[in-house]
Amino acid sequence: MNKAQFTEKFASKNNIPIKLADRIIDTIINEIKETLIQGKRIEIRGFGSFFVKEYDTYTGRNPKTGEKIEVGKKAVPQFKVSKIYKNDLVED
Amino acid sequence: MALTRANLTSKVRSKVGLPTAESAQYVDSFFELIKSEIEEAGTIKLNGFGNFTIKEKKARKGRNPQTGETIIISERKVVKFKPSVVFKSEVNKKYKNGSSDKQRSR
Repeated sequence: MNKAQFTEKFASKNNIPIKLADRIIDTIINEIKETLIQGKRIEIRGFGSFFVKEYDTYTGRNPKTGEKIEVGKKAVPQFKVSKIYKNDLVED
Repeated sequence: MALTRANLTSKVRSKVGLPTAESAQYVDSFFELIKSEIEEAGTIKLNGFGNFTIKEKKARKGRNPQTGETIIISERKVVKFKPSVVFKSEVNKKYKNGSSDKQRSR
């Protein structure tokens, strides 16, 4: 399912025009992204949390050639499923 | 402090210009819809943000690392999130120099 289909579903579920649904979804996603770019966490009860994991420089290897390469500092956004949601997923 | 539903609600209220109660309902609906649609569709691709996917895991034997006791880990579903390349490079802006993500994001 892509974003357009998701937006359509969101609009019909809430009985609102697609344009409005689009604005609401974009606002939520942008706020989540902005927060993470600033390095802050987001916690949504019953869904999960988003956070950014920071990696220091390390020497990695190209798995194909075995060649050593220096991997620079990086930050990667992560998502962790909430306990409540996780348990729901186990049960059904 | 971590951001919560309440912060997202007030953002929707101010940016989209909706009453608080309505904004709260949409924020809830957003996450509930991801949960229900992911079970139906398997994957939800949100352009510029990332993909949510659900994976079925088979039951397997595991061990309690504290007691060494063997237990059966029941079959389950797990939800994964993979950030989009665009989003990853946005988070990495501060490490612009020498990042391996830099080349891929072009």
